[in-house]
Amino acid sequence: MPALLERRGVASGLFFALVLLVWQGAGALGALPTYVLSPAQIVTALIDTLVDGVLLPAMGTSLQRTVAGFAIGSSLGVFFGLLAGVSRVAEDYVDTLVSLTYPLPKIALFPIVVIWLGYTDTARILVISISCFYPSFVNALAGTQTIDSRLLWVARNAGASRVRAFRQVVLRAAMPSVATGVRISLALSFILTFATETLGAGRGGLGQVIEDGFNNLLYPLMWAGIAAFAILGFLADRAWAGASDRFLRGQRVEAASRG
Amino acid sequence: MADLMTRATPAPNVQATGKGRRWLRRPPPSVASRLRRISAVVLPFVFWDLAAAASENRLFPGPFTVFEVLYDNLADGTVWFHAQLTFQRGLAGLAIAILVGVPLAVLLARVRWVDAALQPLIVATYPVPKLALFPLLILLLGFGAASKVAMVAIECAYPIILTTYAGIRAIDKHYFWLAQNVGAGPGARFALMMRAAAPALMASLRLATPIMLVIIVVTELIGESRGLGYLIRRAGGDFEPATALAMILLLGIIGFVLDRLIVALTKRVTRFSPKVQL
Repeated sequence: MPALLERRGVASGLFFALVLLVWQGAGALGALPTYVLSPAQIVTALIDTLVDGVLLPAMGTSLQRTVAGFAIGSSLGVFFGLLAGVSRVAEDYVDTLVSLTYPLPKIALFPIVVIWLGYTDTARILVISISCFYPSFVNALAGTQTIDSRLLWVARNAGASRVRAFRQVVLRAAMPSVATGVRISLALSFILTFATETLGAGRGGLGQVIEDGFNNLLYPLMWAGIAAFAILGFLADRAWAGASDRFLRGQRVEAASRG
Repeated sequence: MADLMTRATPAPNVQATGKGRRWLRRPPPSVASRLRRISAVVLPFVFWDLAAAASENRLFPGPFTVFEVLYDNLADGTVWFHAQLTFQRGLAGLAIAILVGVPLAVLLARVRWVDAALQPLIVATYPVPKLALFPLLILLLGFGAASKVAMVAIECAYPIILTTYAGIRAIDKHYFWLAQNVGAGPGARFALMMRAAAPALMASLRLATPIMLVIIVVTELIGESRGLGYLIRRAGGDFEPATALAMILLLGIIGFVLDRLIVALTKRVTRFSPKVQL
């Protein structure tokens, strides 16, 4: 195998191009069912719905719900995770509850929340934030628990106060794990947004766009919605990865050298 | 790593003063801690019951009402049919994800050009909400079980592939050299790899199971006339929160039991492996 093909960027780029080419070719030959659009048709559908003014407002609505739910859920998750990491009392209370309810699919709460709050954004954001809480919490707690204890002994022996040891040792050492948890929450928030928008009486949002396309056999509309969701999810993940790389810079180097 | 360190070396300074003990690896739970853990489970139910009693609203049932409804539903038997369907589909999806994901992870980890061609694509599509493809899967596979099983398989395959991949990549290469030196065949080398990657495999299973439950319930909430997700949606539509909560409780119990089973299995499978942190 030539060395060039073993370079990640080259090989995966070629493979991706090949997939697109086969997909497009199958579309041109009419081998695809009517509801599977070829890549070129998807791009056209995206542009058409953008020009129509259908896509942007829907993206805005979806993004608002996602970001609100994600921000509330994951920040509470990180806060309580770190708290449970440094306080036995908090760990006993919060971690017990979390581990009991962890395997429960939180989206199942949506029909009940809807009884109380109606099909409102509040109901959606509530369910999204409950779901986002869990991965952030679990990873933040795990982050504090894998800290090399010697780092803490050094800090405490050197006379650092509890607060200072927390700020300068615990917080920093737990950061990579916190960042991972938040990243999982972010991916989850998009899934939950789609689910809450698709489940009955969705008002606006990309879930509604996809649903409309599906129900009215407007496949370009459906595909535009799916593609827009994928693009948003991908970009949000990239943004978070970029931001966390920035404030984890030192740790990446250390992790690499430890090897 | 830190785990092993702290267990091997006692903490002379800090333990002596008793100060900052909470910073360290946990000592065995004290009585107070046990009590707090028990109250963490009991107190929410007490508050829930008090709040429900204070609200006197049929739409906000207390825990005992929910337990009663769950008991009635289990006793009259129809729930079992739905629960069994949900469970079967979920497990089928998970099984497909494992059967496809693990061999793929092995290929990715061991064959360099497969890794180069696929790994970046898998990582790039990991954060994309694949649930949005569900309408498409319905068009492809119909409203029945197949589209739901496929959705579960797609969503579960990602954590399984990526975690198993990382686990196999992390295997000490001396194992492989040793296997080669003693003339182990491909079968034996594969067995060695699976055994060394067992903790990661189990970890991926533990990651994927809650995802399986979420996806199967969402797909049943969206379009289905059977399964626990459907029962929850119907109860919500009928303004019967007690029934919906009872079904959610049942789902929670299923999820909890599955999680415990995986943890027990992990302990058996990884008896000889060093500890791995998720």
